[in-house]
Amino acid sequence: MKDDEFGRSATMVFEKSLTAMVKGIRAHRGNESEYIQACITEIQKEVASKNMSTKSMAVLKLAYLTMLGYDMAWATFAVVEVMGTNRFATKRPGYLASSISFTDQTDVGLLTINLFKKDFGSQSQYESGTAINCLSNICSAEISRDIMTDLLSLLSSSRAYLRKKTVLCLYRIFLKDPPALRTCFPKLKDRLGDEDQGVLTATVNTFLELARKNARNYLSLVPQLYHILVNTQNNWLSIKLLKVFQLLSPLEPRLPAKLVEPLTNILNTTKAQSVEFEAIRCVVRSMPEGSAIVALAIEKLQTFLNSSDRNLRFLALDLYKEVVEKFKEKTSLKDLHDKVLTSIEEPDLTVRRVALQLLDRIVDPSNFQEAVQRLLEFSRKATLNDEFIGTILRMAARDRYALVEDFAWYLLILGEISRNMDSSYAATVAEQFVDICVRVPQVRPYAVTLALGLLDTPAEAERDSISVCTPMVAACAWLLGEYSGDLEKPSEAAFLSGAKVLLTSRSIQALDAATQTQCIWAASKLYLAVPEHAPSTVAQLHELLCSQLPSFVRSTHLDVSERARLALNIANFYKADAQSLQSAKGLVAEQLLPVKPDAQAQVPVSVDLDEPFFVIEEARPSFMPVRADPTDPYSLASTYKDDLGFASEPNRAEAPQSTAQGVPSSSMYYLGKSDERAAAEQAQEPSVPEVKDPLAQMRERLEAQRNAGAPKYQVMRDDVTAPGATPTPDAGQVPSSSSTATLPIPPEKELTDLQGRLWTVCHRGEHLAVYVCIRSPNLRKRQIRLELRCERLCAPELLVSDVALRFPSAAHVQEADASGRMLVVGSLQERSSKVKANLDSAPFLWPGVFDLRCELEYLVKSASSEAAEAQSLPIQLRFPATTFLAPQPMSEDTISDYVSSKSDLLGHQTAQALSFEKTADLSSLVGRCAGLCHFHGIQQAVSPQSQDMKFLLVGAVQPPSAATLEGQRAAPTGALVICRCAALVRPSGLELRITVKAFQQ
Amino acid sequence: MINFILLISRQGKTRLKKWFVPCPERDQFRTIKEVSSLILNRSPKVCNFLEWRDYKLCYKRYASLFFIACIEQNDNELLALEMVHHFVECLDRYFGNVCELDLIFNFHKAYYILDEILISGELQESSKRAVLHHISEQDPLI
Repeated sequence: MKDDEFGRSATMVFEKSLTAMVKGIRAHRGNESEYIQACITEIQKEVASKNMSTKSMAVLKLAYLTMLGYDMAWATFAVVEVMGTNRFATKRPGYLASSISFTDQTDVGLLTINLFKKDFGSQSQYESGTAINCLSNICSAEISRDIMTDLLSLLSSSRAYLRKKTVLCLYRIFLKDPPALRTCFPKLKDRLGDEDQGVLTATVNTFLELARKNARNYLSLVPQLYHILVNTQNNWLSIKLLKVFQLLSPLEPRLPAKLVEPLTNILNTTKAQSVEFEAIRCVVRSMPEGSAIVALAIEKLQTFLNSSDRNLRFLALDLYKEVVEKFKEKTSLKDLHDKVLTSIEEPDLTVRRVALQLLDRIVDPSNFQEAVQRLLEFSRKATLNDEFIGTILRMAARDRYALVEDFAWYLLILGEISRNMDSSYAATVAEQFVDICVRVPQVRPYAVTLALGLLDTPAEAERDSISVCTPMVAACAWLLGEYSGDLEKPSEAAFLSGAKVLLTSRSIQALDAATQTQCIWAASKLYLAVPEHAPSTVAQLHELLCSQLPSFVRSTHLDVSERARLALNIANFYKADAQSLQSAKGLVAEQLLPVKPDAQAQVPVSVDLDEPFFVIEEARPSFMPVRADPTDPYSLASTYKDDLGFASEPNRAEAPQSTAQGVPSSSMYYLGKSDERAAAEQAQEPSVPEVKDPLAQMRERLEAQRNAGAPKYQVMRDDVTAPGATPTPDAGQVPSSSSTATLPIPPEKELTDLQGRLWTVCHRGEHLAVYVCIRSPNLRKRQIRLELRCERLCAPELLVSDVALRFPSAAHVQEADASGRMLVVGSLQERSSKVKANLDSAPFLWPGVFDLRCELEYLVKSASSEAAEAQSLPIQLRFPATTFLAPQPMSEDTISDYVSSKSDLLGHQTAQALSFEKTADLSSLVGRCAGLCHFHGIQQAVSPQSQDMKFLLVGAVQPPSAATLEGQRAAPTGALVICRCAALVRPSGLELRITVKAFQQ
Repeated sequence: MINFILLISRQGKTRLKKWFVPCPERDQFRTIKEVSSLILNRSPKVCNFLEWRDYKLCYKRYASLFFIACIEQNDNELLALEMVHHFVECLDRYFGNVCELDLIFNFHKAYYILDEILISGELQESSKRAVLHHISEQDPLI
């Protein structure tokens, strides 16, 4: 040991030195706490001692004991006393103890202010330094206010040692006392020019921490910081500067270009990996895609990824997450893919988690299968395999199974996963299994057979227990019942074995009530479907039901018992008679469609069940009926729900599936007679021990299918939403190809140009004509601009001058004075120039054609007479109905919701039919119209074969305010104007039908 | 910025703890317990970083002691490890082939050295020689 002053003097002054105490603690292994309690009692006495050395030693011993978990809050006052002694040797333990145990909340903190002041002014830089150190730990707003001037003088101290400490300490003080930042900023900024490297690094450090709070405030420092970055060789400083620039470059668009050169330099020359890594991170975060430096950085990152150092590998993987997110280009992804897959196997959980997250982002349909196979292999090897399974399920489910190309294969994977009985993902697996079958009609034949296989346990298991997890049993049962029609023909054997599995296996009755109910009902559905698909087995199924259901009727679960009774009654009612059973088909005829999980929750709670969801609107007298032609798909429907094509949605979705059902024998899943016979034999003799694993069987089938050609799957990615619900934004939902598209509204400039050409005559009289052009209202300023022009019409000998337009007092015109808005000052020649008038648009509340009554005043003087004759004429400025609408961005769904929920606001309906010559691009034409009339437009989906088009235009009326203008009153809150345009291609040309719905004419 | 530095022995005993942000004692003990059980259970073959709450823990084992630095999400992990290493080297030079016992019996010295290297969670002196010079200038004053 180097020195031990405490130890040496202990024999004289102290009861026990620190060394002695530590030795004592080590000697009392086992009953340390007893010994320590004794020490604390001693310390309590020592702390009360008048001798400062004793006191100081006691405080130091206490500081040691806090580390072992003993409280020293009782001694805070003694600590402050020790801090205040004159000798550095006794003072120092006090500062140490206070920086270990005090916080900004410690109440004796205020007592330290004078100590700090005294020590800051000390001759010894170490006394001041220790004080600053301690201050950074225990500073509070009160202390800061009292001590600020002393710190400012330390900031310009001649000793770099103190400047450095002060600069770093200041950040802590700013956190406690934000106003201090303003006082200090100029002096702190000066430190960026400090000649001492340590002070410079410290200052950059402080600015980095400040910039993390609010980077924008420090943009002014960019030139200085840039200068330092270019000139420094100091690694610590470089890293901090790179961090600052990461924060600043998103705020200053010119910065990334400036940074290219220094960053390239660092990437190419630095030897320090931490600097290199920080530079890569800076490039990834602040440089635009496609630049050369990004390529360089990714190349460097690649070497990190291949490094033998696992820390670097981890950091590289972690950063790759950002790279993949930000830069879509797939350079070197193949390599990355392999790397990620190997990292998944690492025993390090942190690395594995990052790798799994990354895998999630880099898979695409081409490598998805491989990735899943690998994950599945790992999951078999690993003990904690849920992470892998979770990743598989998450990847597959993303964007409604966008990655899955071969659904039969994926179902097989799900089947395999479901063999794992205690995975926490069991429910998710079952959910996906059902969801896929509902969404992908073409996979159903395979799925039902797989479901049957999964339920039909190989008899060799002997334990008579079902070897898939419970939620999967329920899922398989449901599939069997729902899609029994997809069982391959002739399906007698399958029907029989399906019902047998669902009802007879004893383990079913050991499962939970909900699953049992599912099984019972699935068996009943099989029975009900029998006459259509396997008529010869009616009797057998009936007998099976009648013999097995009674045991379920006796179940202790009420709902199982109830369901079994219902099924039994159905069976007893229809008997084994195929004819009468045929009539029962309607019970289960309706196909189920994918429903959003939260659809029910979206139905407003206030719904009164007695009230119909859709109020059928009766035709109003103002309704101008358009020829109602049953063959015409665009004739007006009774409600908007139908108008918008919602009712036809399910039909469309069902279309492909019905074709698939129609020709099952030509399906690619159809394997031919020999296999089938084998399957039938197996079904008849289920106890034959050499029955194969159903999954293995299904795997063979999958192979066979693949050899027969790649299957084509169509996925229903749309959900059926609840009617009248307020839809919540669903991030996971991808727009399917056939969904609606926002109508392309031309850019504002084009619209303004068009508007500028729309001049109307508002007055044509004896002497002059007035033209007006109405511009789009400025919604923010609530103003509308009019442009006015006059034209002279009278004979040349008459002199027309000083034309003015006087607006009604309620309409405020900015440019008008007492005599109204002057259109022409002096005499009017041929035509006047354009004159602007900005009208306050607030009083225009009513969305209808509105005539603003104005007075036109001018002077007429004939050449002969001396006096000019004043003329005053009432004229009307006509505003089109759509002038004061505002585009209302809505989706087709929200419009339909609006229509169904706010029918009271859409009491009025008008329709008009127009004929056009054929136009090349109707949608852009309608878009232009929508833009000019301030509507938000969407184009609705129609069947791809027809050339017809449908559009929906929505505009919101002005928010209500006090009506001051004659003839204006407030529209109801939230009122919208909805137009529906249907364009029909006719041999003669184009027929456009426009229906407008609004709250009142 | 470093939130706190911990020195934990392989048996889970705290040899040094230093918080740079104010933190009540009770929370400190809870944190020490949680962090040390996390780190002591990690196999030596895994990487030296782990995410913990909203922070990152960077640690390294030197002989029987784990040096743990808790940094913020957007800090540079490699730099934190370098800082830890810098501290270890300073200790090593000061004590001369430092061992755990040196730190037990001279825990205050370890704190004094740390105070010369870090202040308010930031590195203040990257030169080992300067650190040792400052420490040796202060020693005779005691």
